[in-house]
Amino acid sequence: MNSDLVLRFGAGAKIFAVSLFAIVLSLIVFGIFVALSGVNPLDVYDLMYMGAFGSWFSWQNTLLRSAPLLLTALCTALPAQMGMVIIGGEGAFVLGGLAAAAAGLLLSDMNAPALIVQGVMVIAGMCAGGAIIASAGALRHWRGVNETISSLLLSYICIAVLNQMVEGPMRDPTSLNKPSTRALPDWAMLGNIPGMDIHVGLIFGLLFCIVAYVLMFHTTFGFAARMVGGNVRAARMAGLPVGRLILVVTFLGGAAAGLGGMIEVAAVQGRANATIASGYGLTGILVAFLARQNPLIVIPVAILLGGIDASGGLLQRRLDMPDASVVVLQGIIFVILLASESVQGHLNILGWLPRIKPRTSAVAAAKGAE
Amino acid sequence: MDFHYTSFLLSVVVASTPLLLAAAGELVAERAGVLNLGVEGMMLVSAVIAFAVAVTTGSSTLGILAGVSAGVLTSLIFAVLTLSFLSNQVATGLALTIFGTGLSALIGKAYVGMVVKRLPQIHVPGLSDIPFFGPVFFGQDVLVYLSFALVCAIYWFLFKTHAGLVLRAVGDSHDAAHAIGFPVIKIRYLAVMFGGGMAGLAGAYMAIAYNTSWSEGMTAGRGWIALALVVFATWRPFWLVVGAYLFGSIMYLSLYIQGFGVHIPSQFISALPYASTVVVLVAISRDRKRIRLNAPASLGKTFHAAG
Repeated sequence: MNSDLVLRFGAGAKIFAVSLFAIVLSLIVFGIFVALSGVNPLDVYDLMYMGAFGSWFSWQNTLLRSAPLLLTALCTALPAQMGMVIIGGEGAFVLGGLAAAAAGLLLSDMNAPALIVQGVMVIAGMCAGGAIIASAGALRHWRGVNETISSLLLSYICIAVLNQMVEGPMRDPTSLNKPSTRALPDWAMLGNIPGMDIHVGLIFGLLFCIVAYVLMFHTTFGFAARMVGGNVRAARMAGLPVGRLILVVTFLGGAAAGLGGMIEVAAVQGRANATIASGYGLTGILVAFLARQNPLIVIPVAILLGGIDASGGLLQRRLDMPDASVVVLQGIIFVILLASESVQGHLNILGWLPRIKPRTSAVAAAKGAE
Repeated sequence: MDFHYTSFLLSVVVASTPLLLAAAGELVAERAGVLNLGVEGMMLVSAVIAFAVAVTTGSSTLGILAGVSAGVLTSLIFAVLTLSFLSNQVATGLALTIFGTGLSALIGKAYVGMVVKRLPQIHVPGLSDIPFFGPVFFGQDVLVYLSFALVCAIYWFLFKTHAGLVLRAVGDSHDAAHAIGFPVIKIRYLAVMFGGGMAGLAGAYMAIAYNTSWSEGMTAGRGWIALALVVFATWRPFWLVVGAYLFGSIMYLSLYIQGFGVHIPSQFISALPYASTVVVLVAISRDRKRIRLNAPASLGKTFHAAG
């Protein structure tokens, strides 16, 4: 038991060490890029730190941006426990936001109590997002359609549906330049956490991550789901309801992203329009991979990437760098992390720490036993 | 507004060519068993490089060559990571797209607002002057003809040559191909680089033939459509042409349909390529035999020679 704990701690420390190494190396590579475009990299690092974590104000900004990332990351991380690569978080996010806006407008017109309006918005957002990702799961299970491609295609369809609805049936005629739905009344909006300028969406996101972690790693349901991810045939032999497990887990992943969309509408924008499709889904995939698909590790990673995101505005204003500079950094982090992960898996550079068994070896062992 | 068939067809050709070029490259990579989701990123990087070179040198040819080289180089990042470092192909492809989007915006900032000379259309005396048929068949730019030639060449290579057979064998079972003694990793490197070069050609087309200027994120999801297109065509080169021109017409129509006075929700039309691909995926997956005949069985799987 004790040695198990040591091993686990060691494995965790190793993941942390590799991620830290990747991030530091990425910052160096990014610095070279910046230097090539004629800006002093030290100024950039300094401003990025200021913009992300330098003051209470920037911390709040960072946390605000990490709230949706927590939820969209789960959209990839949860199905990944079953060996599925889902990249449709953007679609679930957008559809969740649209459904939440529709439900919220309908109920607030009927003067329902604020708590009921918000409750129904949460349910509508989660169901819409969950349904779209669960359909990718269903197509995979019953039709053998590649879930990566189908979730991506569905995501584009969701964005088109959003644009169509806000430009057509749900458009507020007074929104001229930027077609939008009507605004939610102030009393129906989600408030801030007492004493801070951060909306309660952050708490939703943190809770969802913790619940997802407990569900996947400390319940029989989670064990069954991860067994499907390890070896579908073995899971079937053991009598597990594979189809139902896939549906539930993909639904939960989509529901997380849908909740993110609901929060974007109910706490940030106040209405649905094309700006809710602003790439939180794509960054969420990056967060999930950086966190090794672990819902608990998603939390610090989302805060880190939220910080990088938050510092983009400052870089643009002070150094006249394009907004996309921080996207370059994100891409570099992603590439270097993938490289360092496999390098350490094969060469074991950090040899003093206990070696983590690559997940594939368990699969191969199970296959060999068949 | 009158509906001009000639100008409509010309615009459709211009809208479809980048899709066809990028999808043809991806098809070869996927036939070798590599799923590269970084097409959008490769297209953007090569678009900005092609544009920058064409603006500074004033030569379209140099621009196109630079675009192709940029595509090959960015695809090399992907190839090294997935084939030598054995990283996950889906994750690496996404990383490449994110990286390419950012990098192209960074490089392109200096070139926003500049205009380049459009890639000239070939003029065949006599033939190009035939009404209707002339401009459509004999008045296109060189890359349009090249795209058709390349699709034919790819078909010939994949299905009529020994090397193509080996490439398909690697995509269907890398373990069996390795056991026979084929250099799996080397073949996949070449296939990925070819895919990158084609994406580069598509990007260059976007920057100096489709448009004559650079704007951030100008490929607007065409890389993703090209990926969908490969599945839509069930990995067969000639169906790519059908798919590319179908999707190209749809993209063109979704932009201009209001101008024709037809009241169809334009956003729904822009979703049609994606929706029809989902339908095709579901439909072909019902026919397991056909999917098994065409889809590379090792698509997306990491190859690691044991021992």
